[in-house]
Amino acid sequence: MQTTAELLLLLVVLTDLAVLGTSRLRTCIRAVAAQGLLLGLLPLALASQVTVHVAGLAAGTVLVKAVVLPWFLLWAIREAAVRREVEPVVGFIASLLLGALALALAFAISGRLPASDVREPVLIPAALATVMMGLIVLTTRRKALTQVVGYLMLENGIYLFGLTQTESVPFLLEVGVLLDIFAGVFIMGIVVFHINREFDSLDSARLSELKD
Amino acid sequence: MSFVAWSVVLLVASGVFGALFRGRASLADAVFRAGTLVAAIVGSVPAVRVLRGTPVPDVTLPAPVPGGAWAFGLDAVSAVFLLAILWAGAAAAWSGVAALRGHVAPAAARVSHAFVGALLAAMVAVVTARAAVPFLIAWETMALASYATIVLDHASADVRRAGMLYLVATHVGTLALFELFAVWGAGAGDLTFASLAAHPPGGIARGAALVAALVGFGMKAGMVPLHFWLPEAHAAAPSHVSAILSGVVIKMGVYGLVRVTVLQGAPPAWWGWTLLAAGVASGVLGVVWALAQHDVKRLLAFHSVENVGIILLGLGAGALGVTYAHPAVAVLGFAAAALHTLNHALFKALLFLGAGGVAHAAGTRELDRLGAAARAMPVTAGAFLVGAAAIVGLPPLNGFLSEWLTARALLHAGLSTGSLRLAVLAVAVLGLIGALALACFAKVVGTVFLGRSRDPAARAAHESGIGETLPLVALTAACAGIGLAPAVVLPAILRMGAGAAGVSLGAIWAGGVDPATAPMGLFVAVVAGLGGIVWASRALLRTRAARGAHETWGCGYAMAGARAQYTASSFAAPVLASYGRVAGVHAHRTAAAFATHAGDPVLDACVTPAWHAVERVARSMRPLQRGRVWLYLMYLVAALGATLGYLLLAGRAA
Repeated sequence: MQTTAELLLLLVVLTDLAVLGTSRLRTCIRAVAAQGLLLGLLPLALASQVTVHVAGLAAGTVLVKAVVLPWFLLWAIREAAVRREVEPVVGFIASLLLGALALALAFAISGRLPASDVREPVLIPAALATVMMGLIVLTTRRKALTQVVGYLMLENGIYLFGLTQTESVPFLLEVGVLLDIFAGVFIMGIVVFHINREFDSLDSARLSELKD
Repeated sequence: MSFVAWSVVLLVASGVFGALFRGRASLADAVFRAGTLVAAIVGSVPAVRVLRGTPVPDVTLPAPVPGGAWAFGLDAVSAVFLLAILWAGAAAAWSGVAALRGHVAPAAARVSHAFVGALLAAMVAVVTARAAVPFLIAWETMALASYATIVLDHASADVRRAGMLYLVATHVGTLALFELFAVWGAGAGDLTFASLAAHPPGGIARGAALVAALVGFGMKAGMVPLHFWLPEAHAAAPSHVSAILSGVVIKMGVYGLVRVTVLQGAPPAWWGWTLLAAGVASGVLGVVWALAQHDVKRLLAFHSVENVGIILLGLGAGALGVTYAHPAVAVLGFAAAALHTLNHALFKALLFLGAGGVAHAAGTRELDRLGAAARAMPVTAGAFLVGAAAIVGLPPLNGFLSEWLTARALLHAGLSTGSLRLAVLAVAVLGLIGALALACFAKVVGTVFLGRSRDPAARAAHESGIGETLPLVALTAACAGIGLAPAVVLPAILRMGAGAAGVSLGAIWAGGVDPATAPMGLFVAVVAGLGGIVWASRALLRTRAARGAHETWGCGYAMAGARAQYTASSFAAPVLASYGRVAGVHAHRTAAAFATHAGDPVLDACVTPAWHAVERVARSMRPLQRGRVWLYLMYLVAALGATLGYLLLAGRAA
């Protein structure tokens, strides 16, 4: 079982890097969808025995993170007719390097954390790396849609942290995370829609016209 | 306490009803008036009961937020302030309904009334709160509601500026109060006043807490040099709002200082001396600056600074009495401060409402353009004259009673041994303040009500309606009533002082201290009787003597026009000349013209330059705001990283 979980976490980190390295929004969304699918499988891989609770959590996660949200985002880019992230604040190669740095940092930090998970040593580094790469996407991309993707990655990282607590804290935590994402995407979706309508652009840098 | 709660509900509900009601304006106004009056009556029931010596049980609600239970209580100190809030507030609300009708859009007027109701309710909560959290909530509600009432005429740039100055000043004060409770509460279990009193801070923490109290409450009270917002706000607000601001809102600062003094048990000596020094500075400078003013409402506002000074003299004496274990000084000092607070609320509300009526009728607040208002507005003139005599401290009115108590407290301090004796010097200051105030009100009454009308527009002035004169008459009656019945008022107020000082009254009487009450009734009767005799003989003489019509300020030159009358500025000039630059009068002289401008030295020389410096610093930080989402996220990440790094380092160090 441990090897399956490790493989899944490795793939999660790879999807993070895929989002960092690509300029095509469609690829970004697909990578996040894949990440959602992986996250949904993780509780199954981690649990010592598959209960109804764990199965429900997995199904819910897959449904929301791998189906509904990506579909929603794909619909948004179709509506807004955007394809690529152009002129990111930090280039794609540089972002990949930053991502690698974040990964190394995550492994370095997680060894010192008091709450390092005994069941799966890679879980916390992967969670930290996902959070940090989500932040990188959020801060270095200009399109509002890529920022939604970054936000989702951030939430996925927090979800991974939550997985360390599934045994002690009932799945209230995960429900909370799912609701959080729902709220976030709805808000961002509305923002995207409005930006497109009012400014004919999805470039969040253009939001600076709103300052003051 | 349930009576007080009902009073709060009535105040809020009657205002909100008017603001939401879409029907006849007269009905909404009547509901608001009835609401404030009934609230005042209902709220006075427990206040009077407490002042007569029957305690009212406290109420404790479970706290919805951290910081301990939400306790509410009513002791004698709160009761005095409660009476001032409810009755000065009700009088101002009644007058305000009439004053705004026809001058402001009905919808705006009703919203303003709703804020007045909320303001009064918030102040009731301030004086009854017995825990820091509800106190601060009520304090902030009060600050915001009074801002909303000040900027009623927000189309005028001056009003907006005054409102902004008020908002900045009040929030600086609130910040200081947060510090006060944070520092004080650090050593206590929770933030109820009971546990704060049980654990007074020591050492540096006590100093920090007391300085914060001085800034936070002093700012609200209008203590020099923190008074700079007060004249601006009072001049900008509608007159009935000025009456509330000056009569009761600034008294909340006084209440806070009293509460802090009482809560800390035995205050350090420097606290009492600082209050006394602030009282001297506020009293003298307030009245000198008042003398220099050309605008009748600014002048009255500076008189509030002066009267807060007198209150602080009493409070300082009270605190020193506790510190140096001299119970008579403590009781008399606290009693004087509380009684002067109540009295000032009554006569300052009266003066503002009267001045507002005149300014409304004449269309100007400039002293040098008013005149002869006594002929057109006899009721207002009579009431204003009584209010002026009361604020100056002439017997047999209420101002005399409380200033006499203040003087008694200071004189008793002079009879003691040790350094407390030095406090007696403040009696001389009290005398100086009284004399200057007399000069100032001679100037106001002389130029506004006597002489000939200086402005053609002002000649059309006529008496205000019953809605405005009725509150004036009621307040006049209250001022005279308190002054004429010291036997009723003084025992209650001295009992309150004893409660605040933590001693029993009997011990002081037994200690051989003259209670100061026994001769007062006799003295007042003699003064009132003499006044009556003089008045009667004057009336008798006037019927016999031939009457000639002469101009009051004719100066022997019969042909002089109205504009050649002696002006208010000239009347004040000889007095002000001896104060030099402190008076803050700037003269502009050209070959053909001469004008004076009365500024506020603190505002012009300190606060405005400091504000510009802050603005420059703020502008240099402008480039941080780029309007880019990703950049803001970077800031967030950087701040988060810095915090985590700090925690990491701090964890290592520990």
